Amino acid sequence: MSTVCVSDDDLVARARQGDPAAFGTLVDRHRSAVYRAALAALGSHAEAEDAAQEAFLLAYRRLNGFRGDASFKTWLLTITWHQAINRRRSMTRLLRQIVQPARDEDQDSTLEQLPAREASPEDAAARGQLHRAIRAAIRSLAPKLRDALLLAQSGEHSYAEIGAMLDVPVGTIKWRVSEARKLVKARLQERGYNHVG
Amino acid sequence: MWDDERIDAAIDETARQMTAGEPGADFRVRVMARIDVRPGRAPLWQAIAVGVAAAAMVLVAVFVRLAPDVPHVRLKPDAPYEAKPQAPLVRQPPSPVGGFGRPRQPDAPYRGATGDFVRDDDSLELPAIDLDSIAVAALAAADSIDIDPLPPTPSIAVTPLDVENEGDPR
Repeated sequence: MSTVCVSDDDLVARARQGDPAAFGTLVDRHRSAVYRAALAALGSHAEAEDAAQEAFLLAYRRLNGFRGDASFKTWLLTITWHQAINRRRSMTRLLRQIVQPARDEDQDSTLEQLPAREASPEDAAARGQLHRAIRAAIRSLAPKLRDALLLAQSGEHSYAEIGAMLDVPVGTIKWRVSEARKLVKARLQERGYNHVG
Repeated sequence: MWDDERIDAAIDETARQMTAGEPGADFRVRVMARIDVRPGRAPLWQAIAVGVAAAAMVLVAVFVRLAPDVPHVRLKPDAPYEAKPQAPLVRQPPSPVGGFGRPRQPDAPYRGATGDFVRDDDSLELPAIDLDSIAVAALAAADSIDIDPLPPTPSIAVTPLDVENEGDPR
């Protein structure tokens, strides 16, 4: 039976009745949003994949507790965020960072592969340098500001969903994103990008 | 030269790249494998535990069969318990030597209908003690103490210290 036109609520109802394929469809539908939320919190692809799996597992076990007050996606993203934040705080992760400080997403090759609008190699090099500086500035932000900025720019989450995940009003999310941008620009100016502003 | 619009676009692009990515192609398979969705199917660790327990039982059975025979010792059956009739309870007379050096009297019977215990033994009443009051003599008034005045102390001459250049970092 095709599940393309079936709503999340219907799939949830079928999964509650013991239909594993229905929950599998929900996994396929929301895997990207869940994964990117976890990646925004953890900054590591391996950790994000583990956290995303844990989130779906937890959601399945708590499926009977889903009351439908919010959408299934919002409910699932909230579970994901809590799962990822717990993982971020865990001592295990801290130890892993000490032992293996290099993070797989630190590879700047992805930025170098961005479509270059500049023709000259000098412009491309300057652009790559700017992206590295921005990345460092984003990482140095306070977690609340960094989380809001990364989630807002992930392209998978609305402000309402981010507000539900972080348990703050939408207005607070917008303020945090704006503040994060200001701080990133200020740190770029400190690094010599004086024409910013 | 970096204008504001270009910087904003670069920030957006960088943040997007920091959260870009997809889980592996077999993500759904791995999630569903971790979810025990098939009813009546025990998890793998339970199957392993049952297998290990069964193997242990087989090993114990084989070990018992192969062990050398030990002569059996047959124990005598327990003797049947015969209940003996108990002697009737008899109230014993009080001990001739009491705790305070005199024979202890048996307890008096309960007489009062209102719950009061009445004893006909009044030997516990103590005789009245008749003592004279103690007369305390009044204390004599003490003489005042004379203290000689201290001799005058000579003044101490204090010379000012030379702290003109102290603490000057230069």
